[in-house]
Amino acid sequence: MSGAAPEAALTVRGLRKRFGRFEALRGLDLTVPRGSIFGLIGPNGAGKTTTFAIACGFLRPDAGELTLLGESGFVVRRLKGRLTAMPQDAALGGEMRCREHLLYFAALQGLHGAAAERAAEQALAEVGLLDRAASPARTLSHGMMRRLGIAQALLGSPELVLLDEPTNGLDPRHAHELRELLARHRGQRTLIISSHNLVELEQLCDHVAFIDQGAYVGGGAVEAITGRGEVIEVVLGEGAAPLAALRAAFGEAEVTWAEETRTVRVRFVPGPGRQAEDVMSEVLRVLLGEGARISAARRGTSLEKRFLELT
Amino acid sequence: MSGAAQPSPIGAAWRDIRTVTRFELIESLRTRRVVLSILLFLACGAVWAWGFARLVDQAERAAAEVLAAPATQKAGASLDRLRRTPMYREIVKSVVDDPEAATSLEALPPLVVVFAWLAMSFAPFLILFCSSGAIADEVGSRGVRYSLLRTGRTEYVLGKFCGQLLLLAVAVGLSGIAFLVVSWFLLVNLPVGETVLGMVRFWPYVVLHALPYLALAFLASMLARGWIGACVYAALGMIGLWIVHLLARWEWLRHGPIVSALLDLADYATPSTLGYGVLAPLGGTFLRSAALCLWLTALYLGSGLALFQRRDL
Repeated sequence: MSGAAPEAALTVRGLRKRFGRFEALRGLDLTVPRGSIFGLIGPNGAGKTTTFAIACGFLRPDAGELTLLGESGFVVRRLKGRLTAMPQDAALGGEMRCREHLLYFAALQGLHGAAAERAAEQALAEVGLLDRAASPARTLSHGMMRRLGIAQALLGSPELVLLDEPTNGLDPRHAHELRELLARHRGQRTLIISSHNLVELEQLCDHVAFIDQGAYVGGGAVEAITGRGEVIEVVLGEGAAPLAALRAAFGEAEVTWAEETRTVRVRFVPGPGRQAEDVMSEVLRVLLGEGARISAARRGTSLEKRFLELT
Repeated sequence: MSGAAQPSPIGAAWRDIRTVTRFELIESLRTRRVVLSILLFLACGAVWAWGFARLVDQAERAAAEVLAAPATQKAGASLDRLRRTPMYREIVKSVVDDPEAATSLEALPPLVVVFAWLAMSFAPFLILFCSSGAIADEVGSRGVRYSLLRTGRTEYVLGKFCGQLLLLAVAVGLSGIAFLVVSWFLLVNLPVGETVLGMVRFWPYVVLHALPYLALAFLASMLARGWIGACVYAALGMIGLWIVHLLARWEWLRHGPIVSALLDLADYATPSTLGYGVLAPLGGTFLRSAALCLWLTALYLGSGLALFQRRDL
């Protein structure tokens, strides 16, 4: 277990990988809680895809330890069917039909006959490709190909699923449907999602990790990172900001004002009877009472803002 | 999982190999490049038969002219007699370059000998075009990643190898049928039954002889990223090994017993050293040739696997 917590689906310690002169991973540390939907966030070249590729055994790390579902490193014999992935930019053979691809993968996962058929049908139905089951993969659009890639990743009952940019290339409707599909898997399996769409990850993930230049730079529960449970932000329209009234109403809370964005930020310590919803209602009541014009209100800071602060 | 009892590691590996083999065979038979190559090999069978019939026809016409006898309408009247002549024996001996194999072949219809020789000579080219991309294509497209999440690299490679081997057997079989059909149309007095039996008997030997070339193509495929690269590697490998074979047989290079032993050893790593011993009757020559085929196959495939196991994909 390499000292990994038993509840961790994936633990990475000091992972290093170099491609020639480029060091893609520089001692990356990461712990993914079991059963979570986990977002891996980082700019291009941060090392997200390399981390996935090492976790799946496609690349050999130069140094470091990796624990997957309690197994030390990627051992296909022990992880087949338990770990699946949708690698980025990996193409499926164009001549085979969608169902045939899934039946092949199911057979390699140890599913045969009716069980394999059922799993393939279910996976195709989940990504909305049941009507294209008999179509050769080469006839699929880019978005459909992505969905077929997701279908193979959800085949059977994997415990850990790695999805590299899953909504990349999907139209808004299918991207939305995919997010809903992934949300339905919450608690049933661990999903690790790498994406540049931070709004999407904020909606979907329980935990995130920010990586930059091959190293971990921050992360944790989305609730804590964005401060959704302890920060209220209100954007005001033109006019004076009634900061004094707010400070008087929230004595212990920290009230700050950002002139350029015209945003009031109230940071408080949550407690019994003092949840984010209660504080939000109270802040709005005070502001409206003082005649302030409100443009927007939200709980916490956006993931995007935290990402920009950290990277 | 279905809840069934888990197979042993060897059982699971064997099952994965079969799964990959089946998928590889089906996928290959739907791939335009592979189908075209097989059709080309099939056409080769027809062209060889036509060429052989033309040769026989010209020889018979020349003989008729010399003897001032009327020429036959169709070629092939002299074929049965030809195989009993010393000249034919000399031709067979010079072609297969193996006395034991030559003696065995003399008893067979000439068509069988011609087909076996041509199929063995041209199978490496079919392998080069059909099989070089088996792994390299998937490495290039990264499609290999979908499979390797679910099965080991060894099982994956062996499954692909078996799939391509079956494909080769199908191609040789189809080519044989084309060869036979065209010969039947163009030649008279064709001993069809004897020819079919002879071709069926040699079919697995032709495939056995092609095994090292297939393994060499796979070695190239495991190193490359895409079909063209694999083809180039495989072609360079075949040419390089042929040069090694020529050098190893060059007496001028053999200075002393150590150099000679090294050259002999190097020669045993080249497929050109195989000759046509697998066409010999079951016995010493055949067994030695078959063992050499298997040794070379294991050498190339094993070297490729050792590199592929460590390769970043």
